[in-house]
Amino acid sequence: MNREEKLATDYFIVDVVPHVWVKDPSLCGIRCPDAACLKLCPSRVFVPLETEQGPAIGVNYAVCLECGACRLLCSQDNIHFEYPRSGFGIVHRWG
Amino acid sequence: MDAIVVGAGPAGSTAAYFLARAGLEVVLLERGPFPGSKNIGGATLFGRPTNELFPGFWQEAPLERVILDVQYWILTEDSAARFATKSRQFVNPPFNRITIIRSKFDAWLANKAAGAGATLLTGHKADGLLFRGQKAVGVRLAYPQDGDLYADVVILADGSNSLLGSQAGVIPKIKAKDMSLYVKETIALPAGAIEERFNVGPREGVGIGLGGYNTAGLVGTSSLHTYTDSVGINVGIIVDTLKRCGLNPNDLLDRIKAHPAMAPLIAGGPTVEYTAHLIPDGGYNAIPKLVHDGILIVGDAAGLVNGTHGINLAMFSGKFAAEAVIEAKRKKDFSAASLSLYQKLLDQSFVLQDLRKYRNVPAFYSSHPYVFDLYSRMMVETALEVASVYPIPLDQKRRLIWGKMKSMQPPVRILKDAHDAWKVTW
Repeated sequence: MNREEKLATDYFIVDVVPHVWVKDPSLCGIRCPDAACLKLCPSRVFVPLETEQGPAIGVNYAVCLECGACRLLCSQDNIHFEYPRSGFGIVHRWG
Repeated sequence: MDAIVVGAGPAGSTAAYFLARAGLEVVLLERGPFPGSKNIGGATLFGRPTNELFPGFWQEAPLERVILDVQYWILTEDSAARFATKSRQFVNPPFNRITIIRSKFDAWLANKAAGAGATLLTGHKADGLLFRGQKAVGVRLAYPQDGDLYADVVILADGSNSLLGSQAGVIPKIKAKDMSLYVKETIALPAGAIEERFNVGPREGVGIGLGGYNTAGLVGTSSLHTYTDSVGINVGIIVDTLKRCGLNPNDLLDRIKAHPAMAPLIAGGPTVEYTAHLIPDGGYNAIPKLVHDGILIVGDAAGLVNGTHGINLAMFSGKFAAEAVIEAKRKKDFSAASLSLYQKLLDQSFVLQDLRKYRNVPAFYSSHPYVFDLYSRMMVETALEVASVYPIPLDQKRRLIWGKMKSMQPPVRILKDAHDAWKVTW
C-alpha cells in the first residue's frame, strides 16, 4: 500500500479553516536550507509548487495526521501548527 | 469549579477520576469527537500498575490480548536474531502486559471518570489559559463554544505537543532532539490467522520489540503488537535525527513491512489505519517545571515517558496531581507552593525515580549514535555464526567469530562503549 492508499483508510473530518500554514512563504523556496517539511511529513501535507513568483510550498492540511513534527523541524521556524478546531481533523478508530 | 482537566487521555482521565471520586467538581475537556480519537499507542498496558489505580480493571476495560510471549528481535537486511520469553505465568489477572487499542481504552477510562462524577465534554478544545496575575484561573474554549471556563486549578494533560503549555509560557518550546516521531499502521487480520501465525491461543498475544534494521540503525524503537483481529506495527525516531537523514518515517515503515521476517506475519492483511504522533524522548533533563500557580502538568505534556513506556506513568502522574489538588482544596490554597505535593509524590514514585536515574541515557545516544546500528549487526552476525555449521574445528570457528567482531569494532572501543553505557545505566 502506498501513502495515498494508507491515507485513504483514515477517517478525516475536514475543516474549512486550515490549522497548518507557512508563516512567510518568501522564506521557503530557494532560501530554505533543507526543505525538511517536504521530506519528513508522514502524510506529505507539504508539497512543492511552482508559482509565477517562483517555487513555493503548498499545504494540504486535509490529510494532516496532527503529529505536529513540522513545527519542530522547520529550520526557519516558519510553520504555524495548531490542532484543528473542536471535532475536526483525524478521528482514530484504532489509534 | 474545582478543576479543569485538559485532555481525556490516560493522564487526564485518571486525574479527573480521582478528583471526582473525592467529591470535587471537575470538568474533563477533550478536543476530539470522543476520548481516544486523537491518541496512539503501541500499545501495551501493564497490568500490575494499572491494577493499583483501578483494582479489577480487567473485568471491565476493553482489552485486546494478554501478552504471553514477550519478544525482542534484532534484525539486519535478511536475518533476525530473536529472544522470546513465553510463559503461562503471564495468563493470570491482573496480567503482566495486555495489548489495548487506544480509541477503545481511552474512551473507557474517560467514561470511568464521568461515572465517578466528572463532567466529560468532548468536542471542546481549549485555546488558551486564563490568568489572574501569575495564577491560572481557567481556560478559554475555542470554536464552537467560544467561552471562558473558570476553576481553581487547571491540569494540563494535552499530550506530548502541549501547545497550550507553550503558548502560556509554562512549557518551554520543545526541541526536535527531545521528541520522537512515531508512525503506525494497523493491519486487519482474522483472529484465527493471528493465533496461527504467532502461535498463541484465543485472547492471547505477543508483543515484539524490533531493533536494528527497523530503525535503519538510527536511535529509535519499533514494535509489533497483536490485537483481537488486527496487528499494529510502529516505528519512531528522534525528529532531529530524521531531519539530519532526510528520512520519511513512512518509507521506514514500508521497509519494515517488507522485511523477510516481518512480511509473512502481516501477509494478506489490509492496512485499516495509518497514524502518526510525537512521543517525548528527552528523558528527565527535558521535563519542564510541572507545578505552577494554579497549574499542574501531567502525562506526555510533562514529558513523563520512560523509554517507550508512557501510559502507566501518565496514569500515576494523573493520580498524584489529583491528590495534590484535593489537598490544596482542603487548605484553600492553589499556589505553586501548595500544589508542590504533586512534585513530591512524583519524586517518591517509580515514575521519576527511573527517569532521574537514566537521565543521561539520551545524551549517551546522541554522543554514541552508532551503537544501535553497530551492536545490532554484531549481535546478529554472532548469532548467525553460532547457528552456522562449517567443516572446520570448533576452535577455528571461535577464532573466526572473534575475528569478525574485531573487524567490526576494535575490542578497546567495545570496552569503552560498554563502560560509557554502564555509566549512564547503573
